[in-house]
Amino acid sequence: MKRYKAYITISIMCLMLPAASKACWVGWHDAGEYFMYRVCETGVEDVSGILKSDPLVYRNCKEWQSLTSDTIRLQDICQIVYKTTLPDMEKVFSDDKWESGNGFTRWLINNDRALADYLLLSKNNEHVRHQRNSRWYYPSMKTGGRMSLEQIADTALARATGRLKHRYLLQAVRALFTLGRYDECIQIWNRHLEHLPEDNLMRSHTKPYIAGALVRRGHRKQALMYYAEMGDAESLAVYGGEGDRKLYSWEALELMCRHAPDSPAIPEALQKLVRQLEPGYPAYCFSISDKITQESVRERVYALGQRMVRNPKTKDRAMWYYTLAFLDDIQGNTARACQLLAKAEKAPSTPLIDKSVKVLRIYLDAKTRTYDRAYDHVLHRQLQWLDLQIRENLTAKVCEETADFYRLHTNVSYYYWNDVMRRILLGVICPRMLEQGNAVRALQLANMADNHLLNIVDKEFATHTGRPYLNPSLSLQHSITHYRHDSTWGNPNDYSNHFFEMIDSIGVEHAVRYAEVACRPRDKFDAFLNQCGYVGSDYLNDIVGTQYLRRMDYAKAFRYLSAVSEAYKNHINATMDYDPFAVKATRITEARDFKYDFAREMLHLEQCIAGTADPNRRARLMLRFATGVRNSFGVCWPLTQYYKGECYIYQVCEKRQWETDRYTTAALLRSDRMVREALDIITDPCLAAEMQYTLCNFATVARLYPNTPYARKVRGACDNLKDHSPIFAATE
Amino acid sequence: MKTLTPKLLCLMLLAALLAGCRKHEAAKADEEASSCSDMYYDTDNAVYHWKTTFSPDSFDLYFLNRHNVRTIYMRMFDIATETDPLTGYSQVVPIATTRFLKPVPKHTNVIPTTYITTNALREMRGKEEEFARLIVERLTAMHAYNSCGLLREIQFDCDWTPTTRASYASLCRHARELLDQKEVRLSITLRLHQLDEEAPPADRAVLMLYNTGNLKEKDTRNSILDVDDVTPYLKQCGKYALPLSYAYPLFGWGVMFRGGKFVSIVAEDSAGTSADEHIRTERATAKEIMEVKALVEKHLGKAQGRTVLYHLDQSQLNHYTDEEIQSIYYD
Repeated sequence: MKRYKAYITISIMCLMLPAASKACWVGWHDAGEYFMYRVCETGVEDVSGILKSDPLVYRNCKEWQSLTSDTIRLQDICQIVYKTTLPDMEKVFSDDKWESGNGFTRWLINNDRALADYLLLSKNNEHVRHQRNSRWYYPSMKTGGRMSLEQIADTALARATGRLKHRYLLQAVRALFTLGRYDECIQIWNRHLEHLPEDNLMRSHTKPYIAGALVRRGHRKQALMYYAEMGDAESLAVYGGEGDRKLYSWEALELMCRHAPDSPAIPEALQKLVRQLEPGYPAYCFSISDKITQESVRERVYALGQRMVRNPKTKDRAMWYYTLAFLDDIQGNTARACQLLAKAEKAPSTPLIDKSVKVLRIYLDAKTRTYDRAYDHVLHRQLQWLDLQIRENLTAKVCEETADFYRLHTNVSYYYWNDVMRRILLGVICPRMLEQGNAVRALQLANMADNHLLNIVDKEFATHTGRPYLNPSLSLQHSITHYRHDSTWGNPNDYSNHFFEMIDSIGVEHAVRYAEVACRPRDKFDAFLNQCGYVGSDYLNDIVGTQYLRRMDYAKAFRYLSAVSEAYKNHINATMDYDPFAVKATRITEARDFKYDFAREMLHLEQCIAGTADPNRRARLMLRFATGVRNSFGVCWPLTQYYKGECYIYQVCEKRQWETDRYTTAALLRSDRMVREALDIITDPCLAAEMQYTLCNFATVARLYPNTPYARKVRGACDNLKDHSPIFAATE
Repeated sequence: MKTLTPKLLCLMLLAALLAGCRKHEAAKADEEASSCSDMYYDTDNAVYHWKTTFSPDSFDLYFLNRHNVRTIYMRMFDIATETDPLTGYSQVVPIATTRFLKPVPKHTNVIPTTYITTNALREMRGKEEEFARLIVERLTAMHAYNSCGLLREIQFDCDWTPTTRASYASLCRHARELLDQKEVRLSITLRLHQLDEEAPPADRAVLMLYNTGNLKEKDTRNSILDVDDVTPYLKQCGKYALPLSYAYPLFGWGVMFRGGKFVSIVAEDSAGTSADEHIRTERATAKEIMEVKALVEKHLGKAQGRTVLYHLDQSQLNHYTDEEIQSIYYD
């Protein structure tokens, strides 16, 4: 019984909750929180990306190309050397009939078995080492490799002659290191590899193991030097401190910069650190120590940057000027940031840093320049360049994530080029444009920020339940156009992004002006922005028409809504379930073209009211009109709005509190006033009684029209009569 | 002739039987001589080894010999959860792996045992097959690598409850499938509160007759073993679905309370440092153990497997005389 009591209590409590519950809510970030600092590529997974972002991988693949054939694609080499697992590798080389689409393996099988043998041994080594490094490993456990590490080491040492000598030595060192035979590793290094030029690839690949072996043999100082040269920040942090103290990440970075100012690992460590100082990095994650603040870290990194730009040994000076400019901007010193960025622009650089510098230039221009005609030209050029970057760097993974749209709409960093475009447009330019009164440009830019990548990807996951991972079986991918014109699912994309919130709240005059420019671009920049946004006439006409309904300007509403195509009318992310002209909430089964129908009927009523002389007929029309006005902000809110409530599914911006805004207030007052007027002009008491009865004002019916059939009806039904229509009450 | 024939047949049969017996004994003797450490006993005296290093000293060897202990349930490692420093995700890993500093004595069975924490068991949910394989492989590897002789049984120790029972059963089932192929049995430990539950899929169980009371409760008399705590569990249980061995506690400790609240387990001879500190000394006496033994045998029957003592540690075993230990094993 106890359990039932609890059940009943909970049920009652549920029933007592407000009937109009608020929709789901998702956390979102501010558009200004996208990460923008970039001095290296991270999170690259595809072969082409790895080749581009990791110089050591690129060099290794180039060496394999020179060992084999210049005609083999680097991607094919990279795939086999870095991505193929031991079982797959064994399959390739053990089955002569195996057809490989990979040019590298085909070449090895047909031309050079010795290279194939080396690759198999190295894959074996990698596989066994991976197994042995597992926490579950215990000596004598099977590793799945065909050779033991001892056998691999012996074989590698025995084969370490000729063209593959240094490669086999690397394999020997890797196997011996895992076996804990550190002295032998050091011996191999001293005897065969140390004297090689510093940029020798196999020397570079072997060095981390030697540093590890040196630490374990107590040669800490030399090991630290090696770690610093390699830019191994983690190892430096672990072994670099006094006694057992670990170094902080910026201390490790300082060590790296001191010992090897041009180490390719410095950018990665630097990026990791500076991103922790960006606005998007959650403060609660900054937990290095209670005493260490983001400000103190910024100061240390800034001081390091200053030393690095002064250091004559520093080659990548542009990276350091860029870093200083970035840190100055974070600190609010934008003027100095601009000066330092100018130095970065002139300093020798890499293509990656060049592009990052350019992004920061766009950002600083957006923050500092006057928004005039000249800036318009500059911005046009800058956005064209960003558009090119977005298109050129697009990967399959980014397409998938964009189609899922969750990351895009919650402003989570996931695709650098689109992220920075959104940060610059939504975070800086749009607010400034609005401040300066250029609402059309602000709308154009917000539209580009929200829709450009979607247009390029042209793919959308559509599900009944939202994001595909919630219910993958229901998810489908469609083109954006198909998605926008199908009524099977909702359309949170177009009705909850930044552009929509802006056009929905900025005022109908601006929306109209924007729709005109979207239709007839004034110049090339307008045309470019139109291409980059979603300017479907159905979409914009529906928005403008709806805003006119909100303004109770039914003639204009009718004009715009009649321009919305039949196919689009069912896909506006809101459905209407009630009769707009019923005084009491009355459900209707299907309202397909409801906005258009409503605008037409209200326009017609307006015209009829104006043209009707008979007071009783006019009163009847006025009551219907007033009911329509009231309902369009009440139970039939989809006539004037796209959402109801403070929180809305896929929400990315603060929602308008339209229930209490001036349009809603004005509409309700007008409706109330009109009912009074209607009741005032009625001359026929029977009609007056009928209207009051319809309004559920039963006490008024009985009191003012006692001799009518309606009064007899209410008196016969109840002794204690009341008026039930609060909006239309007090109409005596 | 009629009367002689059956007698003759009987004699011939008897002679054949005797010859067979002799052959069997000879074969057994040969076997013993050739591979003594590969002997396996189902019903014998056993002891738990619950340390992180295996380094039996002269006392340990004397104890094993003196009491004819042929089987050691050896804790090889615990399975717990740890946060992966690279990913930040929780991972199930073996910890506190036992190091073998000395060889396993001859004529001794080692049953590799692992203690699975309840957190690890929860984390394994849905991945029981994968972890059963890892656990079995690691226990088997440790057993072989450290020359522990013939492997015929492994043991899982886990304080599973009704909420984790299904996952544990799945883990045992998968482990058992793997072990069946190797003709190795799976045994499990059993706590008193688990007696009521459906038996997990295993070949046998060791009922732990210790840690029967609430350690952290100030008013507990003896949390290691108290007949009053054991009795209710035994009275309400019927016959258990698996063959049972019984394990008895030969250890003691101090339980420190401060201001009436549990603080920690301390050495048995520890003294409180302030007035509000109180140390409860706990140890199961041989008399109490015998009392519980009688009780458990009355309700669940004689052990169908081994009598196991917890655990092989001189500092603990010194508290008991040889005679007391003999009586626990044999009486």
